[in-house]
Amino acid sequence: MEGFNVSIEQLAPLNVYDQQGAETPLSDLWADQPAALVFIRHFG
Amino acid sequence: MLCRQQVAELSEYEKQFAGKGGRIAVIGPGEAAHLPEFRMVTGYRSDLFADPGREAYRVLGFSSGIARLIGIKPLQVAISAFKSGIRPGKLQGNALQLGGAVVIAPGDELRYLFREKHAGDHPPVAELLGAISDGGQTG
Repeated sequence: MEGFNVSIEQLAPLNVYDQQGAETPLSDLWADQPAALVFIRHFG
Repeated sequence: MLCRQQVAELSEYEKQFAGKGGRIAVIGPGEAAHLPEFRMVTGYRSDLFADPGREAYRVLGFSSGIARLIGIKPLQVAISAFKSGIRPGKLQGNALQLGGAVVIAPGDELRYLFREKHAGDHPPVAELLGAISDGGQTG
């Protein structure tokens, strides 16, 4: 396991987009329950 | 493709995330316009988002260098990749981008971090589920 040298404060406000193009701050995903965020290499 | 396979596998476990009181979201580098087709080919039904600028990838330290992707010296890699037809931008997103995963709980509690070391190196679903259910433990 690598050290957790990550800034959640920097991650939290970043926006991602759903298929309607609506933006969501990443922090919304873990606001109410634990969330697994899986970042894939590409949409291939 | 590896990413489709990875997400198709994840789709078999979607209900378990909810069953453990959590959720799963898949995020990809690229445009939101690609999301419906990606859902169709993978069968994945939970949250799916696009991060066109790959800002989250940068903050999380997920590599986007070809050297990290293939694992030999950068110049050699660039030359051999170019000869074999690899061109950045051919694929949606960035062909050289690696991914990973985090599990974060309310209150910005980072429970789990997985950085892919090479293409095809994916976060084990059991570890994600474990971090969802037993706060603080990592796989």
